[in-house]
Amino acid sequence: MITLDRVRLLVPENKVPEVNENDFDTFSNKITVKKEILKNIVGVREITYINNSFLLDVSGKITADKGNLGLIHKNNVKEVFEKIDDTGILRFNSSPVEASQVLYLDVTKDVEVENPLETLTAIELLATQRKHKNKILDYKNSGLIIKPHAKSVSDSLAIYLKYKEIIQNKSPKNRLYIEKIGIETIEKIKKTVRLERHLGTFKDIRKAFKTNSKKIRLKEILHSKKNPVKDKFCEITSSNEYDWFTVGKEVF
Amino acid sequence: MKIQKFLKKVGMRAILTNFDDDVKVIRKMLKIECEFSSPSTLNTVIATFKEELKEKISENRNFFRYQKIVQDLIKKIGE
Repeated sequence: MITLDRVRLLVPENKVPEVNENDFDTFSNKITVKKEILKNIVGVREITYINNSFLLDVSGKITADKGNLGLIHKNNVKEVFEKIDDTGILRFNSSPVEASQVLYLDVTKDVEVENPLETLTAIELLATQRKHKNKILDYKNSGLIIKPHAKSVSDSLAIYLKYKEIIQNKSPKNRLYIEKIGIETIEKIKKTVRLERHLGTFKDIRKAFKTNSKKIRLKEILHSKKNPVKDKFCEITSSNEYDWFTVGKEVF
Repeated sequence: MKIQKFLKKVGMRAILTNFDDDVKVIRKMLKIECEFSSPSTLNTVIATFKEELKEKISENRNFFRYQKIVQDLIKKIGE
């Protein structure tokens, strides 16, 4: 099942009959919800009115609960919009899942492993084989991020320790998040490695989900049978069997 | 002296990766690190340094553990 840690969406304004205008401000020519309001709402990063649509930047944390770190998937996506509705900033007249267009995605998998640090080392070492295609950089929380050298491609894979991310973030919003999931949950995820495929352009999203849709809808993404995290992971850690240099005459 | 530089790198990093007494990965690494122009040049180089390379392979068996870790991870990501 596709699970998302973060998604940027465009919801058409006809899905939003009511708006609390007092919550909005004009900032850098954008009509956007005030930061002081968003800092108290776990899981909502941005709400902006733009081109007759509302841009929603939402994190899976919006669905977090006791024992649940929170990721967005097809079974809880309605709840995501209900929770945004509950903030009082916007009111939806029906679920906007079908009408919402995707702009950016973090497709995410949490995996429990025996030894998280050794797992990161193993990935890094195997990924070095493909370093002519990708660069391997340090990422937050003892993690690594594997990015293509090509600047035109916005498709990367981040691998890090979720446990560290939660305990090292000292922001008030993160404290609210810890209250939601419960301190005991943090203990339980000490062996969890998070893998996130960051897809930043329509082209990258289409390629990862093998779709030709002109407008990529949230519903299509959440119901996809593809596994973009696994595909990317295999790509960066596997050698190319068909490389003409490797199929030549063996000399050992 | 590119090959000497490569062997130093092999010692530190590449040998830890995908080795199974199989020359394929060494060929790949040589290609990437030393930018050989053709497979025949590469064959000559491997033949010249084969004892040194074999020795380095046998020195380090961590790779098999790392490979198993990554294979297990792929299975879990697919679940």
